[in-house]
Amino acid sequence: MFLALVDERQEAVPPAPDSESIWNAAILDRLDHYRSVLGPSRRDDDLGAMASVLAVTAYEDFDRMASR
Amino acid sequence: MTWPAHRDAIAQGRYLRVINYHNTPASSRLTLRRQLNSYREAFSPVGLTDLDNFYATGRWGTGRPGFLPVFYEGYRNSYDIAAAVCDELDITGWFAVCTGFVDCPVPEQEFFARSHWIDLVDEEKTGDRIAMSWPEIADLSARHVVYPHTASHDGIADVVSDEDLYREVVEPKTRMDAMTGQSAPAFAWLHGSPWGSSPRHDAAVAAAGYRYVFSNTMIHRIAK
Repeated sequence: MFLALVDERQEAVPPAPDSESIWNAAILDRLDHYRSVLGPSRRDDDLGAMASVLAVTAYEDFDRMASR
Repeated sequence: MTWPAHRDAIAQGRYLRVINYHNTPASSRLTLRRQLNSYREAFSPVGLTDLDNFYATGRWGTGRPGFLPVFYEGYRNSYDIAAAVCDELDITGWFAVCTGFVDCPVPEQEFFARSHWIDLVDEEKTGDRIAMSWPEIADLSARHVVYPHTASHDGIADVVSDEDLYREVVEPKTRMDAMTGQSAPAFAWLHGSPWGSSPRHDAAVAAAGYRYVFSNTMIHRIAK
């Protein structure tokens, strides 16, 4: 599954965005799709729903990469 | 907060592919090897230095987010099977170990597993050792990443008193660091509770000296 990388340090300066935005955009499209399937907003604070969305999107991403 | 935080991180390339494994019995070796080899062909494995560098620079050495396999609980077969496969494929394995399982006397390890949410399969129920040993953990630490997953496979709700916090958060790192000669970099609760779930528990994890918390949907950098 996908895991988001977050920095909880008070003094942390967020790293610059990744340059491979085309890949990120494809993943975001699928995340948004599954969020809409689950029902937005009501699920936005549900970690279980979030984990499911991140897992299924990662499976799809892997299948796409493996078939290239 | 959950959805925007995750979406923003992924939009900015701040993510990893993580594959969570638990029991990897000998009978699963071929399947495990095929799976990991498939990931290896599609993505680059991520080691601790790669992760540290990403948090410092915002860049992956390979140019893209890679993958990281995590092997939970501290099964003996995590050493015998999973680590061996990782070695064959030149993959860094991340081993989250319940240190109480390791410390449990061999004749009681099956009982410990059954009473601490550690799943077993029939081929392990022979009475032999089923948990990793400390020398195996020390050996793994030389080429993989080892870190505590509490002592007793406990979640935040199970850890109430100061004594609980010491036993489940502090002592596992002290023990592991003494055995490996390194500083265990990460910590994971049972159920993958995220940083921010409880200020008191967060404070204990930070004070113990960990710099990452692995949760179900995030890796949290909490200290230098």
